[in-house]
Amino acid sequence: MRAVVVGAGLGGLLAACALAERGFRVRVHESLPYPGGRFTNLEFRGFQLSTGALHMIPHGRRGPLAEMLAELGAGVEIFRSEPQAVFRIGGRDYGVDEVYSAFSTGEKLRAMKLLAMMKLGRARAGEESYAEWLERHLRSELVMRLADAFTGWCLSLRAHQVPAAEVLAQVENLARLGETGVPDGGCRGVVDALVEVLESNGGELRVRSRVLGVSGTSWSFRVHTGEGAEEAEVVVCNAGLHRSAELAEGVLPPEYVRMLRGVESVPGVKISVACDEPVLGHSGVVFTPDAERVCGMNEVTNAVPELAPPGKHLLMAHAAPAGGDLRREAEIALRDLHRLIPDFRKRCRVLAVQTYRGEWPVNHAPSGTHIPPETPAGGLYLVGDGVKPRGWMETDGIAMGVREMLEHLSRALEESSV
Amino acid sequence: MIRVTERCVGCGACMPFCPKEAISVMGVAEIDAGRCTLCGRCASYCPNQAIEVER
Repeated sequence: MRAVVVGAGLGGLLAACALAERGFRVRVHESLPYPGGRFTNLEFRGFQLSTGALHMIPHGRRGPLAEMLAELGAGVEIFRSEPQAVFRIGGRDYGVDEVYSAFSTGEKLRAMKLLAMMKLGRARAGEESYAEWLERHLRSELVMRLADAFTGWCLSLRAHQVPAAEVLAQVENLARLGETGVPDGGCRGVVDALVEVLESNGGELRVRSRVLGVSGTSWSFRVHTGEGAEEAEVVVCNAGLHRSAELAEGVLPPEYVRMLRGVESVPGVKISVACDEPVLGHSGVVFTPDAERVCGMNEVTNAVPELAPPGKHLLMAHAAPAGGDLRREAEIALRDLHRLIPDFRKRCRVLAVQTYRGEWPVNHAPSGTHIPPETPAGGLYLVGDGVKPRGWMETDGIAMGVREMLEHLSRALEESSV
Repeated sequence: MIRVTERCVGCGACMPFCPKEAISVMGVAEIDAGRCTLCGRCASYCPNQAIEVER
């Protein structure tokens, strides 16, 4: 059987490798001159900046992405971050398990109990947002700032913008897997390994190859490019929800196309900073609940020094915008960095301010949207950051979406005589 | 002529590919016309097809 993958982002490459391994004849079309999408490196002045992601895998060596990479034979070492995360409050860093000590005496015990309940997966929520849920359990300004920093870093959304049930499922997974990691070579280390696996399984990656549309019917598609049309039983779209809707409009029911078009992508701001010495001193996440826009920072060169020139360090900060003017949001985030990092001007130099929105966002769907990978057209699937199952964030969410897609495809092929 | 259209989101993917370091990004990309040689590399690396070059 033949499979065409539209887009060589992380989801597209994972799907392509898995399909090639299962015996499909796979071709991946990527419109850009390089694979990886928003998950690869951008070399600038000797620093490995990234096209999007922050060179980090949320669940490290124990999560769904690491598991899938191992299954596919993509040899990427993932370095465990120690500590996994800290919270920078009032200039002091608190470990995840000591953050309750930053609370006032009256709130301390309740904060401790709430965190324990969440980590054990005993917390339940209805339809409310994470902010509303927290308000109900522990009315505290600090708890709200911690929550906003956490969801802001992981999802580029504030606590009032995410369903509580989604965050609770994510926290439970984080507590259970208990790890964060940095891949060797950064994002590109993963992408290069996947391309190698794809090609060694007979799959083909075509860069600078733009897909113009998909026609046909279930399990019998024609994929149109500038080079002509090719036939495929399976088409996997890793092109974002809006673009996928546009490409496959002719093979999908109008109400489904409208649904995809109605999903609003999630914006964000990333600032990459060059440092002459380690500023954070570890490769875990530093959540920043005191800041106006910056939600967290990392310094991945403590795990993978090659991401910066010898002796230098790369610090990255993510900000979840509060408004639509991303230039202004970026200016507020830069001001935050000067406050968060002592002697910023002396020790640090801003390399790049990158903003994400529209069709090149942080995520194509807000966390908690839960669009399944299968579509009404048999054999047409969606993968990528618009398609994350409940409880899974960032790159591990993309891997879980691809896993769901593969499971659905296996079932469909078993049930039918396709 | 080189022009950054409203499709630019400010992702900065073009910036490292400019051989003249003529691109700065803050919300959107800005190209220093004095340094730009109209080589068009930035346009081919733009994920949003937001850069138009007329030679």
